[in-house]
Amino acid sequence: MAELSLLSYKPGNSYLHRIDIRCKIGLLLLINIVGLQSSVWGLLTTTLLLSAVFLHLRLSLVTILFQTRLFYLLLLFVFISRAVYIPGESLITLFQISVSREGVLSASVYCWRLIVVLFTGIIFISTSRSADIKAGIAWFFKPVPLIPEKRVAVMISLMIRFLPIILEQAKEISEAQKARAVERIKNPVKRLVIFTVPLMRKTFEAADRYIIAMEARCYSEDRTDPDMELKRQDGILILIAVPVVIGLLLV
Amino acid sequence: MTKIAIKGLSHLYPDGHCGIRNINLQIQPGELVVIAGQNGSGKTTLCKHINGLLKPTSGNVFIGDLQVDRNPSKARQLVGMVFQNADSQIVGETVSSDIAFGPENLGLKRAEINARVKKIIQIVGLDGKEDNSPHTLSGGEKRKLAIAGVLAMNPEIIIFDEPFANLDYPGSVQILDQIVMLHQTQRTIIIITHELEKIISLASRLVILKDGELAKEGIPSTIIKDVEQFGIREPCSSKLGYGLQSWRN
Repeated sequence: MAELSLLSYKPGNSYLHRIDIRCKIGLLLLINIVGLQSSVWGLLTTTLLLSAVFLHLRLSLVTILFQTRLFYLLLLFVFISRAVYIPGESLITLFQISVSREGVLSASVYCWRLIVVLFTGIIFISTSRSADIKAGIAWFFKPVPLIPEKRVAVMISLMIRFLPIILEQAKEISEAQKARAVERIKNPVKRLVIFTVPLMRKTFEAADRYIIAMEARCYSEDRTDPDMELKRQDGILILIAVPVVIGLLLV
Repeated sequence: MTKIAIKGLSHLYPDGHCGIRNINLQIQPGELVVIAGQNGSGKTTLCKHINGLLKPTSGNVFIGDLQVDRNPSKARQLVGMVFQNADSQIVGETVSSDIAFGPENLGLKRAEINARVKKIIQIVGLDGKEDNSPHTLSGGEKRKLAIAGVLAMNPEIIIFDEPFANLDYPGSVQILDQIVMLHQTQRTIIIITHELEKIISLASRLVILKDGELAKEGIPSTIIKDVEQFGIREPCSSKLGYGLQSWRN
């Protein structure tokens, strides 16, 4: 289970661990806005900042790249789609499909943006307890009418909490199937089916077990939330982050 | 302290399979009862009724004056359950946050929760691991954490479902020590197991289930010679004529 640390909370006492969760959620939104909206220079600055945070948290970039390898398949699909779709000066033409220079550049930047969003999410999840996330989300939704803020917060925090467990089960099933020579099946659809069916079954069974265990410990939406206290360091962080974000968006 | 009274309890699963049938049983305060039986004999189903996790098809479970199916939430405060698979019971991201999970659900004040967590970490011997991720703990430590999570809710009755499953010898002895320590605090302890060897010398009563029915109950030393007819292995010490020996010696 040690491998799960990437997409789960990593206990620690770093600066990011100590920031008030509301500030952290705000910061997450701001960085994602920069990641999705800023120019290449803004994107580069954000990437450097995120790299510094990875070093600060001692998260291994190699491990992260390995564990998020399936995400790059999605990125490859996005890259090819955009490279082909956007018109411009043709770089290469295969079977009457042309890949343009502008398309490649645009696709590269687009994929870069998605990587920034992914890495920001990893940092957020690694440094935030699900109970804190729940309390923070409930705080943000509280003034919004017609939204049951506690229920929404519980659903989001449970999803974040149990995502690593689903991934662990996927890994177990994959290893068990490899041990039975699943690679010899060449049909990708058949392989997807024999992988997905047991994964779904195991996920629902695990969900059942967790529900029973949580019920046995009197779980409810109305529980004592973690203490949230805005400290001086949180105020300073926001005062620095907001102008920096505006600056990066204007660059 | 409260008594458990099970009256004519039956449970049919939605697929028509009978979990337990017409169980009548009383457990006195402070008892250490072992519920034994083959796989599928209904042990866990019975205990989930005591904890209010299942609703009876017929019959009732009372904890003192409380009818469990009428107020399962209150029953869960009185009856803590340590599950067979500790991994499924651990929901916190750190040892201390997992122990705090139960008291947080009870809506206790943060200061009270912190005090309980601190005290219970010492009781179960997980000092120094407060901020560790539960997944980095050994099997025995995970089981201790599961016990700590239940203890933090301060229940009067604790049910252990197969407490020795998947544990090595030192891990089993550690859990035995925890059970003895809890029993010494006058709590009622119920242990579900088919491995009598490890626990039976400490039990005040043995209850045997077979095919969902209560097949036999009594003082362990008087019925231990009959257990093999119900698919449970008689402890070695008893077979060899040395009576019921504790694993803690």
